[in-house]
Amino acid sequence: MPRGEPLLHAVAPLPVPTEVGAERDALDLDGLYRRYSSYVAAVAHRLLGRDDDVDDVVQEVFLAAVRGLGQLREPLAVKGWLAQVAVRSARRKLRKRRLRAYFGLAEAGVPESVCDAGASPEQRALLARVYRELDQIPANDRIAWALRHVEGEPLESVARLSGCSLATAKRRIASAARALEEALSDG
Amino acid sequence: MADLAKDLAEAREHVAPRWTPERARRVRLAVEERARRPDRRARAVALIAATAAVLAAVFYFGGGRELSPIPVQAVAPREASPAAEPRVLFALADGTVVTALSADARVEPMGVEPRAVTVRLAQGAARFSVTPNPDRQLRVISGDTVTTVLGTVFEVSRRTEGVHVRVERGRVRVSFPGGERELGAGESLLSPDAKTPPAEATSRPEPAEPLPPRAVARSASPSWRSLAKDGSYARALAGILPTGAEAVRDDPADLLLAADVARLGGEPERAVKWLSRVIEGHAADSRAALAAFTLGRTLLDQLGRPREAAVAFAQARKLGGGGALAEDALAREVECWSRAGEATLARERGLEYLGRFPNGRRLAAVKKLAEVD
Repeated sequence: MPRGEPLLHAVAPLPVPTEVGAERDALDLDGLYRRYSSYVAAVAHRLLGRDDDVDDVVQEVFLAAVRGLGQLREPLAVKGWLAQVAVRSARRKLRKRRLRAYFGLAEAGVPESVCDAGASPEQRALLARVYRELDQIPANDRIAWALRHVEGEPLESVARLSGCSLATAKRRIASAARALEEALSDG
Repeated sequence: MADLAKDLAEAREHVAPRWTPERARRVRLAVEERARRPDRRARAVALIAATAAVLAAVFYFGGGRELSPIPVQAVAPREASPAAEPRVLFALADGTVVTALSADARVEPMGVEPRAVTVRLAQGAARFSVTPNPDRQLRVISGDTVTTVLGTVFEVSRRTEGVHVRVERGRVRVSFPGGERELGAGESLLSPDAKTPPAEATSRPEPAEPLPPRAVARSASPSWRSLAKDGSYARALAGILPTGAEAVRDDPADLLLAADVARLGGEPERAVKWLSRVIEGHAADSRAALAAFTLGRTLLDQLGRPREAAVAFAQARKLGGGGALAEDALAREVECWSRAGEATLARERGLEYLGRFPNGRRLAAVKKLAEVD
């Protein structure tokens, strides 16, 4: 994959939606789910770093779609809209996870499960370590960093998906990067 | 950090979930199940809003005047006894809500767009409470009858003798084979499914009697049908497969239900078989056009066979006789030929669309696909 290209499009290839196709998929849950469920699952997985909450996020996203698509004025924007809902849902999960951890109720994570079978042992180790450290970072910073460096999204897209300004997105990414750098250099 | 970024850039393509078809299907069923439940958050917001409105009204009128009973009746009893709330079949974010009036009521969204929402009352009886929106039409297709509204409250029931429409508030336009009629508050109409003329509209409000729960229930093999009505398509399909063709009766309602089960249960090829049986064996039935349209969707969207899909959409137009599905079916035909690489056919159908629907909802997309100005 060429460096710098948004990762989502490479990992979760989607047919280029024709105007009619996109309109049609905005019409019903059936078409929407068929076209975008794997995309939403991929976004959730990369933000959460674990497989066990992905189903919940996908459910919440498409439930929101069932109830809220009527408000969407531009059918072609449906993919971005779903991603925004996925980010919001993932943020809630991450905050709950941190709260549970604060009270010592966090379940043991399985960071290795973040990788597919094609990852080398070194890549598995790296990703496991990164996601373990990300668990210590505030949810907003983590999401911004993951969107930028794991998803490969441009900064403007990070800001839009995170629901914040470009300056805030940059600040969150930098904050997460500093924390990660410190943690990983200590190890 | 530069090394980390470099290593990550190489490793990140392996960060992917194990999103198998079975897992996708399981999550999809869970979404449907949750969608059928009332939205707790929306209800809580509605309760808070209603309480605030009542308090504000009491404050504003100084407690000296009686409150209008309408908002209180509309919100308070439903919040006070959630167990008695009708089953929500379909809802939009603007407050439009469709609730079941009979146990077997089933509503399928066919199109949700900013300017038009189309739903199909597949069976049973339902109440439509449509939030007024002059920029958005809501159409309810029930057999051959199409009810069009801008904002109102009305009920539609599928009965053995036809489709019954009753208006509580506002106005609706009801179209049926051979006619069209506007109904106002308190009026009702029975539009026949068959080719007999419709019953006269009456200005006498009919009692909103619930239909018998089993009015359109089927007698044989109830298990897969009840599973299908509950939205458990995969389990319903598992119920059909062991007995094969015998499980599905040769009537349009049963065949369409089986096709829904197959489509949504992940076996679209079987849906093709059942939909084809409706079209070939029951061409005179009012549901044949819908079967052909659904066949086109299945062939195009699920099976990737645009040429066959184009034929099915053409058949839907022919069987529907220029009815409610005609515009969508013609637009889909253009899309099918475009996808099949048949530019000439796409252009021909596109020009036909432009001629027949010069202000059609799909005009921009059709022009693009057919490459016409």
